[in-house]
Amino acid sequence: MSTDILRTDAVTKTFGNLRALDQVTMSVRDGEILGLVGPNGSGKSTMINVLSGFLRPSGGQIHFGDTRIDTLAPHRVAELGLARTYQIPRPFSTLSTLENVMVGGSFGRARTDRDPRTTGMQWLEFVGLGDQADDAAESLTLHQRKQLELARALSCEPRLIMLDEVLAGLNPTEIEGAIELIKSIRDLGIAVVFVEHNMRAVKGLCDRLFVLQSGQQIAEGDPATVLSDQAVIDAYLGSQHA
Amino acid sequence: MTATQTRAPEAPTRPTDNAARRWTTPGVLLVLVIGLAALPTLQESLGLDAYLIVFGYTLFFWVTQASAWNLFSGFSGYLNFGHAIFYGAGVYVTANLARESDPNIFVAILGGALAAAVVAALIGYVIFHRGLAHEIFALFTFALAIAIGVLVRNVDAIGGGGVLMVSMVTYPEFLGSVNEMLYYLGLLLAVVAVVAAALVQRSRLGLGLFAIRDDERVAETMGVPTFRYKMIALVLAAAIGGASGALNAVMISFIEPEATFGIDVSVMVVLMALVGGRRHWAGPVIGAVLMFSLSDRLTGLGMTELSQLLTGLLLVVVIVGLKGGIHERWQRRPRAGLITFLGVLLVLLVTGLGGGFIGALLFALLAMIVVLVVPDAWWARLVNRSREGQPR
Repeated sequence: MSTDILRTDAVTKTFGNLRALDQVTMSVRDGEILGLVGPNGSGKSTMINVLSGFLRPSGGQIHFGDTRIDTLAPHRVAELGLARTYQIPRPFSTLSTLENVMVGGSFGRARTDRDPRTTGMQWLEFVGLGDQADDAAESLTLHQRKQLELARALSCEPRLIMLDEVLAGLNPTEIEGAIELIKSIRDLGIAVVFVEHNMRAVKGLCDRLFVLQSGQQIAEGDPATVLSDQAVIDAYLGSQHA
Repeated sequence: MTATQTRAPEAPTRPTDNAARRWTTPGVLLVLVIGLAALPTLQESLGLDAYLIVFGYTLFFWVTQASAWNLFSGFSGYLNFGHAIFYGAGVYVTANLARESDPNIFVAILGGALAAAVVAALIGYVIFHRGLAHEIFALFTFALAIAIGVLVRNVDAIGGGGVLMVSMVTYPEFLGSVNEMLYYLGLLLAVVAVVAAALVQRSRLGLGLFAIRDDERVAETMGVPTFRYKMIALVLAAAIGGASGALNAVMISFIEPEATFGIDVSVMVVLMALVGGRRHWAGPVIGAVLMFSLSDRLTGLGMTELSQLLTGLLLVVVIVGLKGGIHERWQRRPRAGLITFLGVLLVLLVTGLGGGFIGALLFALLAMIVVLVVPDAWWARLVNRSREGQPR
């Protein structure tokens, strides 16, 4: 029933002699949460950079819906409805929290007749930053900055959102709030690519998992099956429990 | 179904600025511009010095150039250290038109704007298309201004073998003497520059440029067409700078490559915007008024060297004490700043202690800076003490 919203065909990315991504073929289905996991340095962040248009793949193709996007400028990719957050939050530091979100509402796909100030305010309320709207983004705490990352990506009104370690650095209470938030993002009909090290959150949230190791795909499927796969345990969990 | 339709319940709407407040600033500025436009007509009957007309033109010139520079560089964060390229393109359009016969000033201004815009488009394409960094842009523009100066010195077709003369231009009679014509058109260009900067600041273009300034990569992933926006803003800034340069050729009349493309204009506009504040259209206006009045007064007293020293000192005070420029600081104490400025201005004008209008303006601005530069902690203590002193 569900169709693919994003598809990569044998995507390769090399930096000099290093093959950061090696013939990766991955697809994201409409409305699902896909967990993109793997040990540090396995290519998850490179994957997100390639998907969002920041890095040109050295080989292979990427399609978003019916559009080939690996040759497009990043702002064109954003216009099509692909948004991302940054692992280390990168707010526009001299703008207010609301202005940060207004950038998304003023461009591309989200650019409509509606006032970006109004829609921006709605997204801030959605992630729980309504009271900080007029604060300088610089003055936000780490937790709030992570929330702003989400609000900002959502303000672009994406069809697919890529979350790069949004839980890292948060305390258990904050993590629970963030997990609920991610569920409500899926409930809005937005597909999610979830890059995360917190395995409990990954198991709890993801519809499917895609595992990378040293730039190569080693497993794909529903979380229970994938996480009991011996190759995955060796590559990823094994290194943690050793 | 789109995400918006399935969105969480609507947030309560925030109170919008009321109309009266929204129109205060444009209203005050309109009155100011009408007053300035009437000055040459009223100057004699008010008993004002005729020098004010010349001073006024040069002030407008700097307001125009600093605002133009800021529209691109202040908003986007790409510091242009070769603004004289655009200014000079305008100057040399007038100078070359004047070789054959006296050019029409409006043709010269439009030609100057066009020439500068073309140059800016070429520079912008080369730098931005390759995605080169801020530092490269700063160095490139700085070096290019010097290179163009040398080029113009050596290519007689542009530079006329070293010196070109602009002795006269044609313009409608109702603009009065040459100085009055310069004053009126200078004021017009200053209004165009300031209004353009204010409109850009409030537009989507402005928001995009601010996003580029803070984090260009993130801006691009959020849908900001960064290349196109940088090109539009740079070309617009250059066109205004070129138009103003074309007019200024009439003022300087003796046109040399070194003076035109040298660091004077390039550095001065950067300093004016830095002192006044780069994040708001009013910043470069304040900076231009302050720095030009200062240098004018000191030069008038025959203290050109002291002028440079004090300009440097002022720069140090502003950079250390007023992070973000005078305007940003003013936003935190708007009432105290405005009352100080207007109060000192009024007292000096009435008593004549400021030594004429320009001196009064300068001292009023300096007094305002003193009030703004007081550290927050001291300021809070001062305010509290004065409140305690008041009867209940």
